Amino acid sequence: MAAGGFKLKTLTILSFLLIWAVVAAAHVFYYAVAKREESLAETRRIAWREAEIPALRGKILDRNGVPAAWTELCHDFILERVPESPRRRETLRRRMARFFSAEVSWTAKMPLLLKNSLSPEEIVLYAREFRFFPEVRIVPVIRRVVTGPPEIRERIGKTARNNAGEIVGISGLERKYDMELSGRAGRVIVMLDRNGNWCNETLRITRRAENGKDITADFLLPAGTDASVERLENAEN
Amino acid sequence: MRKIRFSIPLGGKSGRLLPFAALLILTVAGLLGCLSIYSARAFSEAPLVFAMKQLVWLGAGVAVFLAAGLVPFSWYRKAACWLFLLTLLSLFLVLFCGVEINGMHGWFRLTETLSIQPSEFGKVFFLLWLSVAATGSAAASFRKTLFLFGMSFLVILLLMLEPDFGGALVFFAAFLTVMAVSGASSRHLAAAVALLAVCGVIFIALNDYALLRILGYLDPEGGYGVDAWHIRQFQYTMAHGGWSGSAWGNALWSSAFLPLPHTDSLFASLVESTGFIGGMIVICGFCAMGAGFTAMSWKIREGAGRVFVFGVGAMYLVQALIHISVNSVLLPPTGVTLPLLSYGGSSLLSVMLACGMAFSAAKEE
Repeated sequence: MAAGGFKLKTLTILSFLLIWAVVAAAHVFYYAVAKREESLAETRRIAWREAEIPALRGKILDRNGVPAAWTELCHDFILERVPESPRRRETLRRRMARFFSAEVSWTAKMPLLLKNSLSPEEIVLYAREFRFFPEVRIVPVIRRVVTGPPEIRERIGKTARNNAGEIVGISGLERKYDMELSGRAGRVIVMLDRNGNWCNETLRITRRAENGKDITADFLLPAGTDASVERLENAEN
Repeated sequence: MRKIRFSIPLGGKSGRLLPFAALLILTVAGLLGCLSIYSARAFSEAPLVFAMKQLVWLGAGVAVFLAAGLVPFSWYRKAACWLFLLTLLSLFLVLFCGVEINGMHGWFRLTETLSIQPSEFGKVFFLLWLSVAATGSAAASFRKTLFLFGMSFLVILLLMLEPDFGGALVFFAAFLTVMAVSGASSRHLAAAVALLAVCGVIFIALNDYALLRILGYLDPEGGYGVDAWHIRQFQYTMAHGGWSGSAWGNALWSSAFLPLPHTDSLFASLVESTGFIGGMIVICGFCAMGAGFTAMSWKIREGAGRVFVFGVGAMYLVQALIHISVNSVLLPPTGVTLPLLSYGGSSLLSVMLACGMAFSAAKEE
């Protein structure tokens, strides 16, 4: 082919490709600039969540300052739902078999507690090993621990969770001094990834949590009393 | 003893400096790729792994470019047929002996961490063979066009079986480009396009995943599964970029939501980091590359070298435009990487090999 004909053909092809590039650039402009706000609003709805940092409820102390009721923060490892695909189910079963001796039943009622009160090492280990399984989660759990003989426990009273998930006193000193003991929960906003995990880099505290105040009661705890964990009932029950 | 020459007969200093200027531009583009890969993976567990591996491949790519440029183009012309047969054989064998990565059966696993994608090198050898065969002694006839189309169809069929629809598109674009500039009849080319279009429709009808991709593209909100979701993520990722992008290393949405942000979705991730301006620089860079190879092909006398040089520029520009179009939601999702920038040793080395061979053609013919 003559040089002139070759030049013309290559220029035609190149022109077609350049027009294609201009159309592609226009599309990039449309999504990156023109439609930006609409898409960002959608991403905020999809990925950003506001969460509450619960305030630790204050202690109830005896006359000598010995704690008679206090709050403990611990972490449980739970299975929230069964993976949909059989292949994924099998992979999760094999992964869980490495850490738990008992076989998990997929037909059990969900959420299923796999292990309670995880140690810090266990939290790090499970978070890493199960990061691709949004079906299992490490959930923070707040427990109220009460100590002393039955008459003192009765004076201390009981706590329960209200509809908002906050611990409130429903009887005894817990109810009487509820405002002082409760404190104020903090708030955070965070972005979730496609598996529902928190993107820690995006975590921002919008309100700091203020823990509840300690209350000194007029009773005296006898020496050598055992602590026990109060089961938190729903307040309306 | 024959003196080894690595310059182009353009006259004066420019001919001597052009290959090295091109190498410098390719290296800078490769480094930009490493940064983009790092940015796309910045919030993953090991953000530096892919970027560092790509840096190693870039070093190897520079060596490949220099070595390929030093080999006389006459040698490539003689070996073209064998290299094409090697391509056919490897594309055939990878269907049986290859491993599946990202749903595609297109890699040979050499070691635990090292895999090779034969179709990437196949692109270069296919283009070389086609350039040599199309510009051979026999005049452009129906029989010759039919033979070249038949062989190209065979390669495309092997790619479809992997299945690599995006790769097949690039091979077909290379076929059309070479045939168009080497004097094939436009009626024959139109017939080839029509035949391939029919085959494409049959392929889409037989493969649910391809059909879902097209339906997802036509109606991203229509609930067509993961593909529609993927398309929406492209839109959201680019929206995070705006005019000038978020700071480098802050491609948060890509990291959290975009599938394969360092390979098939790299352009969208790059727009998130550098914004519309960064995206435009990349698009203009690829257009300049295409124009540069076109201008270089005009300086070469008639022959396979001229067609090959133009073909290299056009083929990689087409590949880049397919990738950019998929990422900017102009085309349905196809698994095509962005040449030079996306992660992948086979892809990077094959681009450097093709550029080295093009400069060898330019200096010799």
